[in-house]
Parts: sequence; structure tokens; C-alpha cells
Amino acid sequence: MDQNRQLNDSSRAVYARLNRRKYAIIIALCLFCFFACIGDVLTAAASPAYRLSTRDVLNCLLHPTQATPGTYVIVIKMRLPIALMALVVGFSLGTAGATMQTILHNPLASPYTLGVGTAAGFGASIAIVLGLGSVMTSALAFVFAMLICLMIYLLGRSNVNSGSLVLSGIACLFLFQALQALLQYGASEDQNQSIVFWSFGSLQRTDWMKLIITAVVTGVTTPLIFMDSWRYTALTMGDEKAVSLGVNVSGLKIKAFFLISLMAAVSVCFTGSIGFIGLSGPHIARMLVGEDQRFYLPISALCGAAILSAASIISKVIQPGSVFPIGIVTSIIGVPFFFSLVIHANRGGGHR
Amino acid sequence: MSLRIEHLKYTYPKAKEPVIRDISFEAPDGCITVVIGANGVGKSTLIKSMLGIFRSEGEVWLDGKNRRDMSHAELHRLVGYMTQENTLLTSLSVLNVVLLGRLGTLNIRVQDEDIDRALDILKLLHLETLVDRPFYALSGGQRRMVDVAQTLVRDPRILIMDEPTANLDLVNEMQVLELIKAYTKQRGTSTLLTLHDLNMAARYADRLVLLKDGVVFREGAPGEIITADNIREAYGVEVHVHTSSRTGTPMLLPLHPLQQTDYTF
Repeated sequence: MDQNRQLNDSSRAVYARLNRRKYAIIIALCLFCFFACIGDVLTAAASPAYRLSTRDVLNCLLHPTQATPGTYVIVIKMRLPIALMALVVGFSLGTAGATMQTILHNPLASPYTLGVGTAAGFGASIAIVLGLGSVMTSALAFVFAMLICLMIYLLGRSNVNSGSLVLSGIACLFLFQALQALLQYGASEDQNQSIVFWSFGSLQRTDWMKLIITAVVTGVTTPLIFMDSWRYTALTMGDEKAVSLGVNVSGLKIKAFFLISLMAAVSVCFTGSIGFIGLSGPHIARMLVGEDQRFYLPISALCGAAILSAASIISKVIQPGSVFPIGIVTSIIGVPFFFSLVIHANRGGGHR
Repeated sequence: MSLRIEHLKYTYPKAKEPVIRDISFEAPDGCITVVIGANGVGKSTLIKSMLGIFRSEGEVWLDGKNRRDMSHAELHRLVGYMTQENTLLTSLSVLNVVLLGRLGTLNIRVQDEDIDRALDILKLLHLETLVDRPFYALSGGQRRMVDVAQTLVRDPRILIMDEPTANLDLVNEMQVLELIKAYTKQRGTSTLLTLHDLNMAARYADRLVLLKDGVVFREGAPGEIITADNIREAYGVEVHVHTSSRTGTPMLLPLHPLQQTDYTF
């Protein structure tokens, strides 16, 4: 019996060592996000007149009350919410994408590939064409993002456990693309400009109110998702298997789908289409830690936050004097990087 | 009686005829009951209907309680169920796969008790060297053994396994069945298996349930069920049956199918 205990102890040590590497990855990503966020606040895209020294910015972050009013406005009211928004939106898209891929058993699933971004864009376009102002633009974007999720769900509901959810998502994507084109066809040149600009995706519209709303929604939904980590892990072994292990598969998928819809819709309605995060976050996480959802989900979320935060810095540096649309940055810089990862993983004898 | 089913009936959606028409039998405590029957007779359907995965008519009594009155969690605390379907190839470590068998008690931070139980069962199956190996890197037989470990790790009082020995070679097949037998006898579980290998079924079953046309065709001790007549009726195959002097169980030698087809190439 004693020998048995000893063997177990050593096996447990092996298990703990395996997990230690994963905890290290989480800590490293958290640190990266923290410094990326600081870097994001430090970098300026504005004209030299508004440029602040690193010391002033850091002082202002540490002692906001002692800063000069000008510095305070630029750092606390403008740059900080944008930098934090990059983290929160990246985090929430990373979580949404990862959860979606798990419940749909499909590595192509993400809020954008299933049309949530497109539907939000359509909602925003309606508001722009009708001249409803920025609050209504976000509101309509949110409504349509939730609407497409509802449509996907109702169309795919007959068989939640198969590919029909993905198919209905793609069908909805095309529908909203066509509707958007129709709207743009009838819109004026100015309106078209606004629509295009909105659909590029941008963090620059962020203020504290939007940040707080997004953060609260993300803060409520992610724990609800992370809580079910083991059940999601069971799902990765196949729906049949998950049922045999005691998972209420349909219930879990419906719950996940609702939470994902909410997260994606809130993120996208304030920032527009920032593609690719919901797709690359989960893939990088899978390469790093595999399918154990206790690590995969948070690491995908942190990867999303890290990527978007880095993209936010790049979007300001790339073209001095103005902010490059961040949705373009995430795709143009992200895609080659992503390809190299995928090809590297395949050459390394990776599986599946 | 730990497991009793009464008048179970199930029709697949959009199908005209029910697959299982009216099945009733009991699986007593401390016994291995093996369901046999030709392909497509509804062995897996029977199991899924029993567990409520398929919505069926009829009653199922588990440990004296009607399944309809049990919560999802309660059912899965009581029953260990192993599917016939192979597990998807996942990169999860073997230990994590086995831990999933204790889904009901697992926390995000895995407790020592869960890990200990998982390691104990892996050792019992001589899989302890595979603990940190990714599941996809195992051989087909090893995967099946890990599935068995996953089913036993939560100490089920009722054990239901659909083709537990599929893909296993002779030594692994016997090891798994010996393990199931030992578990059943020592814990007094009521164990229900489906097996396609009739000789193995005869060797390890305490009771056999032979299905045909959606009903129980014969039921009883292996010696009563494995007869040339029964096998001809249920499988459409001519066989020679004799009783082994070593094991005392009936052994079956397949002769030829009843419907002789002339294959010309």
C-alpha cells in the first residue's frame, strides 16, 4: 500500500509538472498583456503637439490627481480606455472563438466566420443611413448581432449536435452581406464612407462608458464559461462520449451559444469588425496547451487580448500622425504570422 | 434487483417500424448479463433507450428507482456507461481522459482523491506508464483500455458497456473481461454488456439475453442459450456446439450460413 502511495505521488508529480508549464504560459501571457497595455497607452498616433513624454504618461497613470489637466484628459480619458478596451475585446473574442470551436467541433468557427461581425455591420449601416447617431449605431449593431445568433440557433436547432449550426451561420453570413450591399447601393457617398469606416473596426470610438459595459459583460460571461471547463473537455471527445460521461450536451451547447452571442455582440457593436482574433486565439492556444479546456479557454482569451493589444500599438505606429484601422492590422499582420504557425505545427508532426 | 427493464419500445424518428418492440428482462446484482444478437437487432439502441439517450416507451428501474424520477446527475452517479463509438482522437493526456470519468466531482483544480482514483485504476489495467501520454498516440487496444478505465473510475454500481472488447486482441480482450468479472463479483454490481463474440459471451456471461426481431428471443444461462437451434434462428448460421471439458461452457464452431450464396469471380 505504501508503495502504491509512493507511485501515486510520483505520478501526481508528473501531472503537476505538466500543468506547471501551462500555468507558466498563462502568467507569461498576463505579463505580456500588462506591458502591451502600458505600451499602448505610451504610444501616440496624434500630431507632435499632443505628444507626451513617457515619464509624464507613467506619472499620470500612477498619480492621476497630480497630472496637469491636459495630460489627464489625454491619458486617462482617451488613451487608457482604448488600451483597456483592446484587452477586454481581445479577451472576449478569444473566449468566444475558443468556446465556439469546442461546441461545434469545427476549427473554422468563430464569431466572424459565422457572420456576427457582418450582421453587426449591417445594423450599424442602417443606423448610419438613417442618420441615427452613434448610440443608436452601437445599439442596432448589437441588436443585429444578437439577431443573427438567434437565426443561426433557430435554423440549426433541429440538430444542435451536428454541422448544421455552422452551415446556418455561413448562410446567415451571406444573407447579411447581401443586405449590406443592398443598403450601400442605395446610400449616399458620405454614408458609404461612414459605413466602410465603421466596418474596418476601430477602438478609437471607445470611452469609459463603452469600456465598462464591455468589461461587465465579459466579466460576467467568461466565468460562466470557464466554470464548465471539464464539461467542454468532455465535449472534445465527441458528443456521444460526452453524453456517456454525464454531460447534458444540448443544454451545455445552448448555454454556451447564448453566452458567446452576448460577448461577441457587445464587443462588435462598440468596435466594429475586428476579424481574426476569434480564429487565431483558439488556434494558438491549442498549439500551446492542447484540448484541456481549463487551460485552452483562458489561454485563448489571453492570446486574443495580447494580439489585439499589440495590434493596437502597431495601428498607431504604422502611419505616423493617424490611427490605422485596427481590423486591417489584425488581418494583414495576423494572417501571415498565423500561416507560419500552422505550417510550422504541421511540419512538426503535429496531429490533426 | 439493480437493473430491470419493462416493455421497452423504441422507434427511430421517421422510421415506420420500431427497432425494439417490447423488451423486458432483469440484470441481477453480482452477475454479468450479456445481450447478444445479430447486427442491427438493436443491442446499442436498447442500451441508449434504457439510459434515456433515446426517448423510449417502457419503464427502467435502476437500483429500485424508476429512471424517469432520477435527475441527470443521479443517473450518472449510479451508472457507468461505455459507448461503442470510439472516442475522438484528442491530444488530452491519458490521465485527463480517465479523470473525465469522474466528471461529477471534478473541480477546476483537480482534487487529490480524483487523481488517486484515476491512477489506481490505470495501475490495475497496467496502463500506469501511459499517464502523461496524449490519447491520440495510443494504439487502438490501449485506447479501448483507457475507455474502460474511464468507465470504472467513478465506481459505478451499475455497469453498462456496449462492446467493451471491440478492437482488442485476445489477451487484452480477456484482460478486460476478467477485470469486468472481478469488478462485478467483488462489488456486486449488476453488469450489462453487449458482445459480438459468442464464445467470449458464453465464457464470461452469467446470463445471456438473445435478441431477435426487436424482442427477447431467448434468455438464460449460456448453456441453455448457445445451442445450434437458437443460433440458427437468431443469426441464420449453421453451427456446431459442444461443451468444453475445460471450462464447462458451450463452444461454438461456425459451419456455414443458412442462405448459401454462390460467389463467382
